[in-house]
Amino acid sequence: MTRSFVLRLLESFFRHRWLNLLPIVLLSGAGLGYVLLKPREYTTQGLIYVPGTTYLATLTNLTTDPASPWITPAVGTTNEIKELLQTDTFIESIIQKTDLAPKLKGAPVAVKQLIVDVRKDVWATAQGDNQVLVGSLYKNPVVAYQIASATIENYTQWRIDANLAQSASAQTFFTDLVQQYAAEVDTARQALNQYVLEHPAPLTGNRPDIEQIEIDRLKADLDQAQTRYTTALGKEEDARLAAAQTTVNTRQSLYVVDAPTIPDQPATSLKQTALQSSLFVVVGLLLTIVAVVGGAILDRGFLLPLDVTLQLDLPVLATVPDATQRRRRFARQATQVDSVVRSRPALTPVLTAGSPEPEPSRALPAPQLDTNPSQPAEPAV
Amino acid sequence: MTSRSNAVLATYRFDVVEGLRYLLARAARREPLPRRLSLLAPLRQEGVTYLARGLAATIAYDLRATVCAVELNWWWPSSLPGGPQPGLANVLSGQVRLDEALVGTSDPCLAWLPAGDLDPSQRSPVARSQALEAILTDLSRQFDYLILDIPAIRATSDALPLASLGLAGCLVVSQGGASVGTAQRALDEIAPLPMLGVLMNRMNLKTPRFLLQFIPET
Repeated sequence: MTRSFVLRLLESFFRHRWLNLLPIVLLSGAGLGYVLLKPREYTTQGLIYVPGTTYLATLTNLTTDPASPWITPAVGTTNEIKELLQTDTFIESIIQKTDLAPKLKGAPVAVKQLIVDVRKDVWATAQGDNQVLVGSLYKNPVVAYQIASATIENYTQWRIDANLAQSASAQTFFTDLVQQYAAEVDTARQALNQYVLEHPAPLTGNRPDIEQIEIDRLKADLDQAQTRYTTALGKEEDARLAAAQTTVNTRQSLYVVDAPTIPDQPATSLKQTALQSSLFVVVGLLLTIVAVVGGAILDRGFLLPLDVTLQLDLPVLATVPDATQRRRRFARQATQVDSVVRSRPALTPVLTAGSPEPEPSRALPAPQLDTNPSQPAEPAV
Repeated sequence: MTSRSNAVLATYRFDVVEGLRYLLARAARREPLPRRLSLLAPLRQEGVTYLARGLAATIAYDLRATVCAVELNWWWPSSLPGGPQPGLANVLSGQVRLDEALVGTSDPCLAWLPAGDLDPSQRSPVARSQALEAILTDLSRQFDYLILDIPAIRATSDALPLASLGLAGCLVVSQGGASVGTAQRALDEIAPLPMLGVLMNRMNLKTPRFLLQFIPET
């Protein structure tokens, strides 16, 4: 039964061998075309180290860690980068720092497509608790390097900007306030000076009480304005200091351990290319196997003499070859027939219809059969 | 094969004849070849008529015995060179004598008896008639062997009584033709008829022979 099935598989394959080989040939061609036509792409990666907290933060109680206590700094940073990559502004800021920047002046549709392409070719993944891998893939190795570098730089700047935003607004508020308080101090000082000039002290004796009271009041106003001014000036200084601390602290919280480099070789190696192209061949092979096995199973006819023996339990007396084969083969074999027939003795004249009955039963004389065994007609199956 | 007037009646390739010689050798290995052999097939277009005439010619040529290929297929009769000729149907209706219906060939041992044109309403009665059997008996007196060309078993119910006119049968199946189930059902229907075996027609093994030696026997 195994022999029968294997033979049916072989026969199913060879009966339509070109058709069965077609999937392999087509998919091999597709694989070759894929390998040849696929543009070479270059990839580069940069590694950022994100500590949980910084020394400066511990001294100043500043918190720049974007992550919650339940996720690692690397995951938090990675999530932030991924979210930023979904914004067109962030991508545009990346493109601005690459050789692709002139394309941003193109048609809106082209710019949109450029943003989509760049977004697709840049990624960030967490490695461990404190490391973030930022990578990019592009047809041009320099641009790939620029994209990865710009991503890291823009993210760092974004973190700084985000942390500086409150300090900057406080600093602006106190700057305005200091100017206002300074004007009030000047006004109070001028009022005091004016009053003293208009009411000079008597040559003898004390000022009248009413003047002394007014001068004390003006002095108190000046002191109060001076105090407000000094306080506001201190607050402004504090805000400026906090901004400086934030910048330094953010810089400290993002170490670029491995900066991106310009790749010198395509991302796809020869081995990967061979694997990708072999995948096409494997798929073609599977299709061929399916076709052959399906053909062998679905074809319920007799393909081999062995099928007759197994299915009908009858002996195969003979196999007669297909007489409708190619003409050239027929011509060659016709020559053989001619030579064999000519070598045979002429037939003896025998009975015609209506002649006396011949000898009724005649065993088949074996020597008269198979006179030319050199041309076996039965396949060896 | 040519007629008495040297018109080509049929052409058989050498390897086809060799296959038929194998049939003769194997069929006669245990007992003599039956004097009336029915060639039948489960379905049409399996090559019964072609092989019946070829077998008759081979027997006549190799064994130097007189043989007549009798065509009993009134449903799809074969055509002979020279147009319609009187056949068995005309003998049964009394229009011609038996020796007038026989088609002689250049080989004096070989003759063909065409089916002739038989009205469809008469086919079933004729297939089961004593007259037909009598004619075959008469032919058996004249020829050593009769090769009966039977219509397809699954095509007409009359194939069963016609096949039983032979002393044994030989099933013709072509490679990739009738399915296994069809052949099995056909054999079930003609179960009473002793079967010599199967003749595989239109055999064209595509598998290279050198591969066959690597296939396990079990």
